[in-house]
Amino acid sequence: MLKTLTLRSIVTYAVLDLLFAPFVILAFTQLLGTGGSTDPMLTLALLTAAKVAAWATYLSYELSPWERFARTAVKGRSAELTQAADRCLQTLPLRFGIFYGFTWIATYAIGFMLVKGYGPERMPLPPQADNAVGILCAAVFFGGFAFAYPLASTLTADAASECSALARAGRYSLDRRPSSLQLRIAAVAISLGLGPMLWMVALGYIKQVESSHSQRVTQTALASSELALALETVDRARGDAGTDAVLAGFQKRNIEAFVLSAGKPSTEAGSRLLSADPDLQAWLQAEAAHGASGLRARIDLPRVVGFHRVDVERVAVAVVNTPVSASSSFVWSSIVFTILVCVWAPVCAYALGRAVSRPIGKLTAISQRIVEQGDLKEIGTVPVATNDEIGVLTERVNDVLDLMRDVSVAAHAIAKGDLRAVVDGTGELPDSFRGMLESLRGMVLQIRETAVDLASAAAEIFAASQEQEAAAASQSSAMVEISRTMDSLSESAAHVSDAVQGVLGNAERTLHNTDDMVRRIGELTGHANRIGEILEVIRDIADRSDLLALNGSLEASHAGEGGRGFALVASEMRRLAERVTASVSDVKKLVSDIRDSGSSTVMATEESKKLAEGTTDAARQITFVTQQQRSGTEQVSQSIKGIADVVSQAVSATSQTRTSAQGLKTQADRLSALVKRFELTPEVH
Amino acid sequence: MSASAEARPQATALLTIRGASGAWAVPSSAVSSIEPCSDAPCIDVLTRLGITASAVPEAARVLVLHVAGRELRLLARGALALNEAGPDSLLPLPRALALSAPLVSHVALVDGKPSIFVVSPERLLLALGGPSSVPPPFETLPEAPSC
Repeated sequence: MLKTLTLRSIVTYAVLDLLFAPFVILAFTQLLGTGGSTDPMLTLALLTAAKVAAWATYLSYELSPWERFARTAVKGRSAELTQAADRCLQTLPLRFGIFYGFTWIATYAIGFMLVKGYGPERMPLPPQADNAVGILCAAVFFGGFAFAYPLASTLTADAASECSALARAGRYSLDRRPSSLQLRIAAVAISLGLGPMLWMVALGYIKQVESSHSQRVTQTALASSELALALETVDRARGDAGTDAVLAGFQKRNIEAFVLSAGKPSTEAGSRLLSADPDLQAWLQAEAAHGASGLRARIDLPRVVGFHRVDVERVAVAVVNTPVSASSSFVWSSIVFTILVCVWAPVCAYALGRAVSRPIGKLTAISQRIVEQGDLKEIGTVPVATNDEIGVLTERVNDVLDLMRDVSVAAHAIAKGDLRAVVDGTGELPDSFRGMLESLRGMVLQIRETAVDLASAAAEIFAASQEQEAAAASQSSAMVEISRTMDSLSESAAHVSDAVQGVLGNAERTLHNTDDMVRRIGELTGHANRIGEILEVIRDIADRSDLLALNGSLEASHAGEGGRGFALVASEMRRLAERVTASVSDVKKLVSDIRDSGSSTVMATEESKKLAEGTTDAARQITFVTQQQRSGTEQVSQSIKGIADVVSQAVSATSQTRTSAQGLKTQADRLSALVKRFELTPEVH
Repeated sequence: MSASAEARPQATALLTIRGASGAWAVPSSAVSSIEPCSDAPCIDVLTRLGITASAVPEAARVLVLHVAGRELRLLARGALALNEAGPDSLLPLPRALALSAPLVSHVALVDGKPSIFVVSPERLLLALGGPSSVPPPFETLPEAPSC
């Protein structure tokens, strides 16, 4: 509802102020002796309102840094803003307490001045009223401070806590000056002591004055009555001499007494008195003319005048010339008591503050030792003297210490490897510690199992590495052997390549010779054909010769006996022609055979040529393949050498792996031994 | 020179042709000349005799005969030879055969065995159409082969 601290504070103080104000005003007017007059009350009420406005303005001014802080979004609250807000909150109680007290002083000092300004006719005040109001102002100052100071501390406590939390979260410090609880208690105690006491002193003082005034009024009234009675008696017995004696008797009592007869004083002193105070003379004549007796007793005047009519002519007048005053014993007692309170209150405050601050100081020292040294054993138990809030706080601190000791003991046991520690108690810390312990047990158990598995795996790796190393060594030897074989193979390939080069040369020469042979056979065939043609000509000639011879024989036969000789010649010619023909046939057959042989030879040569070409191609291919094989073999040889190197490296790496596995197993055994140092609860085992 | 086939001469000169299919002869007196084979049509005697010509290639000649004022050109495949045939070597063709072989006038004996038909040019001429008929200079006959 009251959202801001300023508004909350103003309302709180205003309510309290307005609650106290009527009583104080009433007491003040009573103190001044103004009675039920409304003027002073109204004046003081207005001044009280002004007072409220004044301290409210001051309070708003003092809390303005905090209000700026409060209006700022949480993310925008800088360290400077927070520090300024906290600074105003830290200084506010004392400053506002003093200011608030002074507003009370101002209110009643000004009020007194105003009332005094009304004048003695309206508001007759004793001369001691100044002193009383002065004491009263001191009283209201201390009284106001006594509740304004602690109340301001209470109102700003939450806000200051918020600033502290923000500074702690932001990891910056607040500019807080060291303060003493005892000093604050002493200040409040002195204020509490002085406020009411000074009020009572002022009241007592003014009552003393009033009492003094009442006493002189009574004395005056009695003196006037006594004087009138004495004058009646004296007149009847001794005449004027008796009157003088009576008056002298009053003079001895320090009462100015005289007889006012026909408006004139009977004594010289009386004449002087009345001539010096025309108001008194006028009042006396006026009152004496109407009434049998009268009394003029204003507290602000030094004289109290009383008269009593003796007879028709004479009026007995008594003047007590004693100013009002408080008794000196009261004043001294008040001073002494004030001094006593000024001494007693701090002593009491010291005692009270010490009773409060000592256990708190112990707790603070313990907290500091815990934070700075962390030594819980030597701290022991904080003694509990009372069962109040501090005692309960101390008990709770002891509980916390016991819990921390338990946790510390358990932590020591855990540090030594004993995980069977038990932490009792409830709350976040023991629960968290138990959870941590449980997790640690599980972790150690897992590490233990893992260490065993690791050792087993390391052993397996070691064995496998050994086998792998042996296999790699064997493989390395095999690789070296293969490398040698590949080198030999490469050399063989080189030989084969050389041989194939020879074969290729031979094949190429064969191809050349075959071509030559084919060409020569072609020529031979051509010659044979030519011979055939010639033989054909010869055969044709022989045929024609045969025909000629035949016709010759025919003609010879026609000639009969005469042609017998010619017939013989023709016959011989025919035989010759037939022989020629037969020879031609034979030669032709031979030529045909030669031609056939040539064709066969050509065909065979063609085959040979093809074979030679095939051989050449094959030789070239073989050369190419052989070269490729040689190159491939060399590459394979290089690769094998590379593989051999790799295998050699693998042997080395495997050896290192075996060494590492051995080391790993050693480490795993050590880890296992290390984890075995942790003692787990039986059920965990 | 003309001779009767039916007459039995004392000695007769025969021009014998011995081919792969068979041998035949013609009186040499009837042969005017022997010419080499040409593109001119000629008479295949063996075919006329009903002998199938052999597929074996043989030397061929053309025998030029002048019979009754006509020139006959006979195709002769095989070896030609002039032989003297005595009277005992020429046997007249039996009657039964003469009907089936009208061109043959005699059968000549060789080594005592009848082995050569002697073709009569006159009969051949009769078979070709008689002496009155004048064949065209270049008779084209279905059976007339060329060399």
